[in-house]
Amino acid sequence: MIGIFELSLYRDDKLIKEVYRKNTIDVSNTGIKKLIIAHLVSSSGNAGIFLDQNWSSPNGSPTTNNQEGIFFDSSPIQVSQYTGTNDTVIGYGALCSSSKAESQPSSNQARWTARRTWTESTMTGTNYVTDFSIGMNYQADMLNDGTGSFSIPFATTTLSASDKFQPATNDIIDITWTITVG
Amino acid sequence: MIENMGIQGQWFCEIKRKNGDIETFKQPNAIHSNLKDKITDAMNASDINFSCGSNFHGNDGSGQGSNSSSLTAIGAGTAGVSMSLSGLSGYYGMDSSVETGATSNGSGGYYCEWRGTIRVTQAYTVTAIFLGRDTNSGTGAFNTIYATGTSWSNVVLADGDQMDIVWRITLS
Repeated sequence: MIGIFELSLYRDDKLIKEVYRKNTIDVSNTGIKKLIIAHLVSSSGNAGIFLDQNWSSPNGSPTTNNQEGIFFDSSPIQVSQYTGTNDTVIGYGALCSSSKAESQPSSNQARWTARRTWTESTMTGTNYVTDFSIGMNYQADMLNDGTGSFSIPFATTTLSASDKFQPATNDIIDITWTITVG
Repeated sequence: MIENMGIQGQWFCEIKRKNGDIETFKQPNAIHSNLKDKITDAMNASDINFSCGSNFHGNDGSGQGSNSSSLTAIGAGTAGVSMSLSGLSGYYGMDSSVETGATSNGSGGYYCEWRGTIRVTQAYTVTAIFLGRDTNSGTGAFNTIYATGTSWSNVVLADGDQMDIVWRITLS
């Protein structure tokens, strides 16, 4: 299995950056590879790896847990406020939501797309967007800044020094993530 | 550079002859597109099941206990390891089970294994082996084929011989 991460950054309706990266698929004990192998020898039931993008906010704010899709870390710029059962925690994760279904490009490839309009202030100084994740069952980090992670991770990627970027207000970030089972 | 190691298979065969001799063979094999496509489908739909941990063919041909004294055609809907036999049409089952659950391979991947066993009371020649689930009621082939025994050479079995297949699938 292998992932292909593609990013397009638009500013004032012009494409100003494109990124194409191959990435490995998660091998953690809760990640998708372990789930697939475990399902192969299970006695029944569905595979449990259906990634159904369901960020509810137009900009994909992580207002609830247990959602799935694509997010990137925008720290230290706050882009959302996570409200848990008993606490309100400030989050720094910028989540890309998608409203369009993406057909599979081939029988052994799954693809997801996501878009986020950067409505916050322009990122400056030494701060850059570098880290992206795709997976299921988002869990906010209640003990720290609220930026969370997926309890069922599919893949992550970190942009290189030449690919990382500082979004400006009203920039549009488009992500396409394709996983090939080969 | 990031390499796609992918999903891989390997079969291991051990034959215990009636006189005590043991012969072993093993061979890597490609994974069938049926399984790759099912895994992909499962990432895009909630109702996909490609499990192969139950409903196994259960006859080893030994005549012992509940086993019949000859190999039998693999039944509709069943799973496990099946065979083609010389001179006989269709697909025949091995007494199948999960050998190893999901296990780390220590290098960024996981594997699992199945075992198929037959203990024959008459002569057979095994011409091909298959791993899969959901045997088709019409053809006897698996509706979801996981793998076929790449580079399998005909195995001639005589009364009293036992053949075990351990089939591993690794996702790296």
